[in-house]
Amino acid sequence: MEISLIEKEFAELNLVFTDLKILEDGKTIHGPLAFQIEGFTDSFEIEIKIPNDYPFHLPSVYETSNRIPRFDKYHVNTDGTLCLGSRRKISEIFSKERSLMGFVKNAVLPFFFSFCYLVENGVRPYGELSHGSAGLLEDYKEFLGLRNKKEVLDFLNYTLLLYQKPKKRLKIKTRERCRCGSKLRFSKCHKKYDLLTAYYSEQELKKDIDSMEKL
Amino acid sequence: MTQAILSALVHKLEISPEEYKKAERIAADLAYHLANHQGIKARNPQLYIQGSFRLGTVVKPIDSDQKFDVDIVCVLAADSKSTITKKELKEEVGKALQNHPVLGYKFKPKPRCWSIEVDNVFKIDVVPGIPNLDSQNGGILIQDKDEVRWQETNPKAYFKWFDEKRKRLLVVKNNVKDAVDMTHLESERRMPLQTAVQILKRMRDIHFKDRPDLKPSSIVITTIAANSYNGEPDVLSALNSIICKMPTYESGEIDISYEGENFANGLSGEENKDRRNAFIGFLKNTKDLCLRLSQTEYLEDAKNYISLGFGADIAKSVIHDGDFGLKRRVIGNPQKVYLPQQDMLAKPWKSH
Repeated sequence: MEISLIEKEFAELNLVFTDLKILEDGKTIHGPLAFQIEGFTDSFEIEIKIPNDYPFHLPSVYETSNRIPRFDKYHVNTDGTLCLGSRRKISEIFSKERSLMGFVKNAVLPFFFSFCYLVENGVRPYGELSHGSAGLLEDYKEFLGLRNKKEVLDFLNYTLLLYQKPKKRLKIKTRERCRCGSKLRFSKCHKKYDLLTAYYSEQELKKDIDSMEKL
Repeated sequence: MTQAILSALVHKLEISPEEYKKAERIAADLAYHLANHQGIKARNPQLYIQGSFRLGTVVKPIDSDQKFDVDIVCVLAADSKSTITKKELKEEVGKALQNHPVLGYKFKPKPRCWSIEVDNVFKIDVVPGIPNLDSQNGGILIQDKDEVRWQETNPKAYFKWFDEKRKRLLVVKNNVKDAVDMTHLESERRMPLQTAVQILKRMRDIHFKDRPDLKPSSIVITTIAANSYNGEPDVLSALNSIICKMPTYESGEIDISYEGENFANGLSGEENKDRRNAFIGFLKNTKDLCLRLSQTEYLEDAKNYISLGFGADIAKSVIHDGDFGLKRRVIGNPQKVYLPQQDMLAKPWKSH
């Protein structure tokens, strides 16, 4: 029998985090995630729910030991889902190492590290985003190096063109001035953010744009 | 939460007795100065302490650059509010204060009061007022925050009400001149209600650390606690009773009033929606953290909840004092993991 992608990736994850188990449905991983990161040694019971269309959609992660209060302030929903980061950022992180191991190591464990650090020092080690659309805008501003909502939305609407079929894409000339207002050519300025289209779908980007427009 | 953790915690919230004494001495000195000042003597000034210093609910500020407040009310006799303007009242008291031989030059006008900071430890506010002739029980009129209108208030009646709530007879130290009433509860043994208020105030300070603009006032916290307190004999049961009984305000307007003065004005109306939601969230979070603390079996979790509720420094120092009979978490097989580079770390984000 052919081994599914999830089974393969779980086996890799399980080599390191040996106490994690996968349920018979083949889509739910659970168990203690014990780690040692920068002087913090701790363990949280987790459940990872893998969507049917993984890896196009990313898993949801729950903290089942109920050790982190379910409260906005600590970025945990009432059902225990962890709010790991903005969809875009998590997709970007996942694109660097596309596997369950990469997801746990680069997106889930840093969340627990951030919580442990907060408890020890009273501040988040690398910040947090505001809730809702305001946080999305903060994330895009930082990512694109832009100053305000208008600049971000202009730029993202422009980026939407990049999802078009190659013929239409030709509309964007790399020699033309970049839309961020820097007066540089697109090729010398924000061309690298073309990458956004490689890991983030058009629907997801549209959803973010809609939500930021309402701000 | 065990009684032992609670006692250790409360101990860390206290300001040192030396600091109290110093604040008390300076406040009394200013009060006597005002009571005897030629410029306002004709107006028969009445001086007394109000606020947390009087109620015995002062908590240590969370940052060393924050001060604790001592509020003094200076009531000048006036036949009615039409015989003295708000500006005149503030100026008269201000001039008298500025004549103080040692501290006078340090007084600065603040909205509705005169303020002085002493030794970077405390801030004394002198609030000028006139008698409220419509009040039956010694109410006064002070300026509102915008210095536009007169605002009715009654600190003495509030104190009496709070004092009755904490089921303790008022001890009046009546060996001073009648005009100056320096009665306050700081120097007395704290009763459970007062300690519970200190705990809630500290949790408020931590909860609103990053958003001080949304922070509910101390009198709101104090009134809610006093209203939900049932005379429990120890701090643990007092706190439990308060957090279980205090309203959640999840539906409808917030009314936290005493004698017709609604302290929740800053939490009502469309313009204060954010403040109101933040306040409701604070009550919910406080309740949750207290319950978690009381139910946890593990020392590590107790430390986490103390840190989230009371601050990281207090958590470290409380846990340093002992294990309070709690178990230590055994962590099997932890994996050493290195964090990704800084620009590949996601900042936690909640979608709604």
